[in-house]
Amino acid sequence: MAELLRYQLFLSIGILFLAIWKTGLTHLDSIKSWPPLAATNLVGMTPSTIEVLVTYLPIWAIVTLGMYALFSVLYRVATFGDCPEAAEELSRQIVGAKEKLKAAGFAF
Amino acid sequence: MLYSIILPTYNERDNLPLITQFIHDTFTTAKLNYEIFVVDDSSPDNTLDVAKSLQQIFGKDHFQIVSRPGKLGLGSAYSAGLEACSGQRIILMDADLSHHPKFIPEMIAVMDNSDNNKKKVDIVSGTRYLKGGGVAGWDTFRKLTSCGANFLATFLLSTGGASDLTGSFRLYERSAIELILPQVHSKGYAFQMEILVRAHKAGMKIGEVPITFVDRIYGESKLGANEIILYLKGLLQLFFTT
Repeated sequence: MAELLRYQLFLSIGILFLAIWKTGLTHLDSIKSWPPLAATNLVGMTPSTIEVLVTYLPIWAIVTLGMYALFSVLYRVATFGDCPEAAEELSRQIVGAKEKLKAAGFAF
Repeated sequence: MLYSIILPTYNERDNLPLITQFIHDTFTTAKLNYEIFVVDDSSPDNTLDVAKSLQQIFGKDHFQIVSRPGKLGLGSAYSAGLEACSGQRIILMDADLSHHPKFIPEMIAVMDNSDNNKKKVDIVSGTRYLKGGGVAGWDTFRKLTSCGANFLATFLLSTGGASDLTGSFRLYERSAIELILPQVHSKGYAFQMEILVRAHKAGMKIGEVPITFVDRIYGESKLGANEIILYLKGLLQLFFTT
């Protein structure tokens, strides 16, 4: 595990995920009848919901990832630091700098 | 402690005098020693002549010029400047006034203060994406592409939490940049990303200072489909090789 390249890390996580998914699929029935899960029937965790969840786990994973990406980027853009003052300050400072340079003998 | 500021230039005859004056003012006020190293790639607009007159005004102690026979790329410009300069700390920044030297003392403070803390900061990156930082002159589309690209890069690459991967305004300990630069082979935006990725891989700590970036609105847009494809290629290359 010394120096995993980034893509190898992703690959490992992908393989791990596939293993979890496969296990879930093969043991679907025992998951559906797992006492704590059966008890949450009220919040919509019916056996059929569990079935859909587990069968299409990769899709849900991709959708979740996509939503996370989308909202992260939209949040960043919405809270983006616009700084028009910086441009104004720069314009002012350019005037000052030009005067200093002229005084020091610079020929524009 | 001498600070070397390496300024690669290509057609910057108008901006070079101004950025030089700004750097001079910042360092004089902060009472720090500096030297500017202009690396000019035979600019057709005679930036070299402008550089020579600036050298007369500011002195060879503060202003040095490396003139190269042609457009040889940013990475080699940095290497040429690094080889020639004598500072213990190196600042790499743009010469087109999009970066303001006033943030340099803040970067230095972050680097100095890290000596007392748990881990020594070897690189301080100017970030446009943290609170206090930002950009002047970007429309929503530009912001979307930039934030999207940055998100993709931080997801796909390992950079220890750096918030601005494509920024080019950074302060380096000489040892850090000397170690990393020879390892970097990407071109374009990915170049700056690769520096941070390799630094993180080498165990270096990257500090951050929010900066304001003033995008000069020229006629040409530097963000065409070509640039985007180049960026994605560079990103994937780093994904598979680091």
